[in-house]
Amino acid sequence: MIFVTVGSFEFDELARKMDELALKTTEEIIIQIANGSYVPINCKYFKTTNTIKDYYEKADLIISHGGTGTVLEVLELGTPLISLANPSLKDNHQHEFLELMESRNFLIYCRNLDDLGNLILEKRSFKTRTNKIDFYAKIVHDIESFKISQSTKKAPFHAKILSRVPAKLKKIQI
Amino acid sequence: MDSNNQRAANPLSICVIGLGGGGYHAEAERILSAVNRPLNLILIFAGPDGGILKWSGKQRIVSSYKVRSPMLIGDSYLRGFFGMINNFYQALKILSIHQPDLILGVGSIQSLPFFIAGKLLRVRSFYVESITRISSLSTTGKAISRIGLADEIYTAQSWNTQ
Repeated sequence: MIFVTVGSFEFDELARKMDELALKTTEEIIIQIANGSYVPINCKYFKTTNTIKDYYEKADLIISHGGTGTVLEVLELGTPLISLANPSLKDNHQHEFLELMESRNFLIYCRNLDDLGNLILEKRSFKTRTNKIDFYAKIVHDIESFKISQSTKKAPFHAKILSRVPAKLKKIQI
Repeated sequence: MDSNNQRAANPLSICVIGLGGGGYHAEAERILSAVNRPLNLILIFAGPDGGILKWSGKQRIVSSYKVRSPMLIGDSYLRGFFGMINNFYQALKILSIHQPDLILGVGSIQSLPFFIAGKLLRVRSFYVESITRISSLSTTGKAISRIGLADEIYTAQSWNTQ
């Protein structure tokens, strides 16, 4: 099964392209379209789900937008991943992220939608690098070695006053 | 008491900003899941209705709050301004109630009001720029960097050379 996910923001171009490619393959394709206006007609689709990990686990190949949440989660599972930058997002920042991830063999970066069909065929020979992604070593180290200073632990005198500021808080249970 | 025993007896209290189910949320979860010391977390969820309310980390959660992000897509600057002021008061209240040792902001614009409130309350703050920002900081990152609001700023440069 090929699972396609666009994350939280619409990415109609990707949904449309995969819907077209669905006519050329017998492989099942499922698309998560978020609030996109394009509705696939040749394959299954849904808008959002709280159990997206189930789809990641069942898929033989995942095609995704270049958001960090999706990319990192899929890479940890080790499923082959083809990613595309969603050009409608601010600064097109996914482009740089995906270039870097591709340069380290974590994924295949599809720069042009017209190439997507060929990349899907090539993915059979693609070996995803699934080792632990250790991007956060520095901050993890800094938090682990963070010293709780007793002087700063003592609340400043104005904290008690500020705790009475008229702000509405909505406490929730996780 | 050696430093390891001290850490076990004294969990580090962290107020985590930028949650709600998106990329920032995923990054915050990954960072804190990798931390090998006891933590007490105060979680701040934002988004239109708090976003997706979940946390998969195993650390102890002291409290969780749902607030509206100061600036959502489609908001006017005026709405953003008043949202920021509202968030600032909420931040003052949350930080003064829980008095965390550290504020951890990942990517989100919501770090701004919390970091300002943290300065007033003498709470240290770490800002983590999203790993999608390879060559330049986000608007939030630039603002935090220029004003000097965070004690530490972690950018893609921190891990780019690995």
